[in-house]
Amino acid sequence: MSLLTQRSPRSDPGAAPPHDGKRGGRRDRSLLWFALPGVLIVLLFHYVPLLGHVIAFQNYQPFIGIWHSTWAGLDNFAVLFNGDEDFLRALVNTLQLLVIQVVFVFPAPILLALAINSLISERVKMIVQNVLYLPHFLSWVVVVAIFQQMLSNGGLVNVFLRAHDLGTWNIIGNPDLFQALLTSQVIWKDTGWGTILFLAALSRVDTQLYESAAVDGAGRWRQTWHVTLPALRSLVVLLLILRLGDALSVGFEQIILQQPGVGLESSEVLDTYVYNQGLLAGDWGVSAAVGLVKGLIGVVLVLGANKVAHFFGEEGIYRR
Amino acid sequence: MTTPTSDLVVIPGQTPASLPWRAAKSVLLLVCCLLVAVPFFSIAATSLADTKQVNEAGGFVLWPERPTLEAYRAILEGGLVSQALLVSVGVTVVGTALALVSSVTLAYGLSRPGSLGHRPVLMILLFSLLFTPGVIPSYLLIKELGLINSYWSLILPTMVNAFNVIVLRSFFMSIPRDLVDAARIDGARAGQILRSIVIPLSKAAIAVVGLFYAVSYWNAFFNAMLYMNESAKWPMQLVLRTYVVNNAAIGAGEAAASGAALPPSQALQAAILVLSVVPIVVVYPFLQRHLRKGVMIGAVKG
Amino acid sequence: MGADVTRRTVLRGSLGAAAGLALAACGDGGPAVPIADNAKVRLPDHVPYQGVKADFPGTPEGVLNGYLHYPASPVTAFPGGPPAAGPPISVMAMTFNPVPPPIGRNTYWQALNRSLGTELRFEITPMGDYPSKVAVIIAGGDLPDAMAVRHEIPQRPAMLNALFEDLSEHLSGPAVREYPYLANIPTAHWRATVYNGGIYGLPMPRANVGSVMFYRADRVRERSLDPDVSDFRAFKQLCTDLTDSRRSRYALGDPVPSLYFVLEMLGVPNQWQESGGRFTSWLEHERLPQGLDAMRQLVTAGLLHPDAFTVTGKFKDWFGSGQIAIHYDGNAGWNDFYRRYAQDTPGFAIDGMLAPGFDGGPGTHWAGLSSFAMLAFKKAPRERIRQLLRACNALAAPFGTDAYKLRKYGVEGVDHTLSGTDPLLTPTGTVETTLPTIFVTDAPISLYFPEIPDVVRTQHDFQKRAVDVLVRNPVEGMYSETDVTVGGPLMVRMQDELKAVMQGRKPLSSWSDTLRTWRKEGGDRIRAEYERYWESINP
Repeated sequence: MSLLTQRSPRSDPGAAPPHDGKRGGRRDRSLLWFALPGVLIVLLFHYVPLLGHVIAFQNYQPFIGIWHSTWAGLDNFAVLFNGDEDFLRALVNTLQLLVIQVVFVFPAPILLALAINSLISERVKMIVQNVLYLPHFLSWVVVVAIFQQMLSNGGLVNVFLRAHDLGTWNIIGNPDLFQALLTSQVIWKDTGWGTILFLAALSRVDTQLYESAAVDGAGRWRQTWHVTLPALRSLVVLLLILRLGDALSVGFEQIILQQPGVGLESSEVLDTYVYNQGLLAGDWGVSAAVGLVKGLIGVVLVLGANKVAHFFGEEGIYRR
Repeated sequence: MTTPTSDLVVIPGQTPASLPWRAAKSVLLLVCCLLVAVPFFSIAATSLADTKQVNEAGGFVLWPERPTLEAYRAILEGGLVSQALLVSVGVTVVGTALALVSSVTLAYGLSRPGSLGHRPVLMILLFSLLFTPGVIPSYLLIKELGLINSYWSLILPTMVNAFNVIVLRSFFMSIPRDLVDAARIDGARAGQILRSIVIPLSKAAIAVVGLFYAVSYWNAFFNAMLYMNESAKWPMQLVLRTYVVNNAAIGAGEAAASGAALPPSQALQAAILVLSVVPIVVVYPFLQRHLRKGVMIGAVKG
Repeated sequence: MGADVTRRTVLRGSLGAAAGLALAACGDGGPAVPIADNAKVRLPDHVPYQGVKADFPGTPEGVLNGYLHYPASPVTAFPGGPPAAGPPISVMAMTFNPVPPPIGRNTYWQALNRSLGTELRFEITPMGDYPSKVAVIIAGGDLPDAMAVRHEIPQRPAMLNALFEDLSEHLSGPAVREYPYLANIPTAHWRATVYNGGIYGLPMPRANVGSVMFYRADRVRERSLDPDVSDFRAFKQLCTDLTDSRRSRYALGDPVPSLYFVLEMLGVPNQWQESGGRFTSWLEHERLPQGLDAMRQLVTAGLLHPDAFTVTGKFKDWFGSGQIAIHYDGNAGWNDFYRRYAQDTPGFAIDGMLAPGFDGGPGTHWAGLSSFAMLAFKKAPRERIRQLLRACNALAAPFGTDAYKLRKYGVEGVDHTLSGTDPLLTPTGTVETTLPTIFVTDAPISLYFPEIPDVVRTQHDFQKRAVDVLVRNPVEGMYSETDVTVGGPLMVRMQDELKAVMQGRKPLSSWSDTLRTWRKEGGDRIRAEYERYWESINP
């Protein structure tokens, strides 16, 4: 049997030895103690304030406080279920962007990591990484400004085009190109940074596996397919599932900064819709309601995606 | 048996790609680097340019014609930024250290499916990622804990990030089971296993997560804005933010009512970017060494 | 103008979903006092300060005092020594500027405290984050002694009633005379401080004339053009003459303020129009479509910068560097544009243009907000309130006094150097004096620009012309809950539609649909609330 599958660096979850019985149970209790400090921090700083989401059902005002605010039933949720035309448009835009991001943005760092990982010189590798992760540290305001300076009507590209009588290519203010623009911005900003996790995973590939594969007569592509990718697979699945948990967020700040240029019709997404409807500005109840709904959708998607992962024999976040 | 000579080796051990393929890949990476490097170079150049040139260029410049440190001088004047830098470094170092300890132990505690309390604790962690607590209840909690105006209010609430813990856990779980079991049979306790097997074998992952924590502590400003009433205790990102964000807040008309001065110049904003990125640029290469260690080799052979 | 800003300013604040736990006890926000009582409020008397003679005197109609130079020997504002001796005072305020160095390293701040006789503890928050900060502070119940309260805070009357002091007994009518520098603030500025039948704060006075259509006088002169346009056609011609797209020179930048200028020509109301208790929004005014059409012509003719619709935050620099020649901006621009751009452009000169009538004759000029925000005081014993008022009185000392000079220019030798009798800020002074005293309260604004005193003359001239055709916003000082919560964001959407028409993304005929949306989603409610309020104060 080939070593390719047998000695992959992560153990096959299905092959877990069935010795989690009594003997293991005592040891495993000690594991719980290790988890304790971290769990307490999460409970205290995350779950205690989460109780405040009760105001999703209230007409809450900060100066009145939670005990004296009146109950609003489900009024605060109405915005999400009123079937308003603008809302549906925002929903469609959001879903489109989500699909685009999962298809184009998500794989970008994986491909880049593979490319970097296959570089010959360790020095070049370092330099490339060092350059590419930088944009992650720019705020959206700056990223948008950089793109505007390059691509706006008075920007470098169009100045060049006009100088050569090639006309003007309206990019920044063009509703049809808006989603493409957003996507390229996200890729520019975060792809380099996104490689870090994958490179860490790649660093663990046992190089002997390649040699063994070569012995078995596997070509370069088969080596990548059978050695490199399996090392990334579970991480990719994990990150994809976690991304789905935040499915309805497709870049609030990035979008709202650029809305005035292209108009709301093509640029409105759920977050900006709720925001532009004036529902977050001072309306704490609605904002909590929106947070709850988004969280619940996240739960459904994460648990669902995890099930799908199990179906394909992946572990996902937790086991069956 | 080994594959061809080392200077041609692409990934150690892996058969090298064909020449045209490698050339294409190099060109692609070069283009990627230029797409990033040129704007960054331009930001640095702009921070050194004088207002006349910046205004004529309408934003960023590619090369400072009359280099000046005016923008940096304006920011560093008064000493608030340098003091804030100390605060940021302190919070980042202490925060990252504590975050790593609590996250590594938590991830280790969750690394063995089927152990006592495993599923509920994992769910608690996972759901904390999906539901974000509100600003007001978080503030009230910090106030009740007496942490207003305390640096701990900047460290404790973000000490455990569920994403980081889940990633760490997945790395821990990918450590070959036989290795851990062998240690157990040899009588090693959980703590010893963590120290002598799990951590050494996960250096790359721990370095990455450490980097994630450090960057998030370094960039955080919102909690400081809420919890720190004295601007003398602000971290650098919040101080720098008052240079940049307020610029966006001033529109025509509003400026009339605000009586505010002009927004900061483009050069000054560029200088702020440089100042906030430089520490990361300096620290990253040191971390990078850890990121690249393929520590699994040999260990598997065990 | 407002809406674009509102969106940005609350942008940060609203990013985090928010909620509240009443871990701490809060005031019980009982029902607010009926608004009808507001009609009975007697605003503070206006007792103009006479200590310093203006080179260009202001007028009661709203022209500001102009000064060429600072008096050689400033008047001592408080001959009796520090006026506000007592325990420290915490003040929460926003800032548009970089935060100043902490008090330990801030000579200016220390000197200011010494002059007051107490310690001013500023809790400073960047403007963009201010709404969030206000919300948590209110919810937490730990109020500072004084706090700047902005228009975007909802449920304001009830909140003020529950948590803040009614200052009427200290300020109403003749009572204000005990605080002479507060009495120097003209009555109009106090209108926005009235809630629940009382005076709930101090104004932060700003220029009545508000925004200005600036133009580059040097460029107009260089092309021998006439800036005194007589109607829209002449304005369009001026814009055409100022445009040279091959050299990247255009007439106009930001489209929405440019629209405002055209609307001023058309006599469209400044936000709202009141006639016999009936209110009309500028959006529903019958001449708005004509203004949109006129703007559409300017856009089609290529008189706006090609990135005018897409790029944000660049307009000032375009104006300063000459890429555009006409630019609508705040009153502060007079000094700021010279300060920022004059050194790089020989002959740099700006002036203000008034909107002519669209078809000739006089146009209008929209007044600005008379107060940026108000400073409310936490409920406290009478003596403490009096100490706070004495401190604020000192922070409102007018031009020509030693207190004003200290407040604006800091300590001589450290924060400023004297050029003749005029204080000029040093780099240290520029940084230290960003302490946001202008968001506590202030004297009425003075026109003063010692670097180029002639600017004062030009500005004063402009103001004299502008006040003749000044149109006020009738809802200033009135409260509409719907306007606070829904009005700003609704305006963002309306501006989007206005731009769509100007840009040609949508036909002019789409405007009537847009207007229906506006009415349905808040416009009608806002109008009704203002009408009700108006009736209650005009019985």
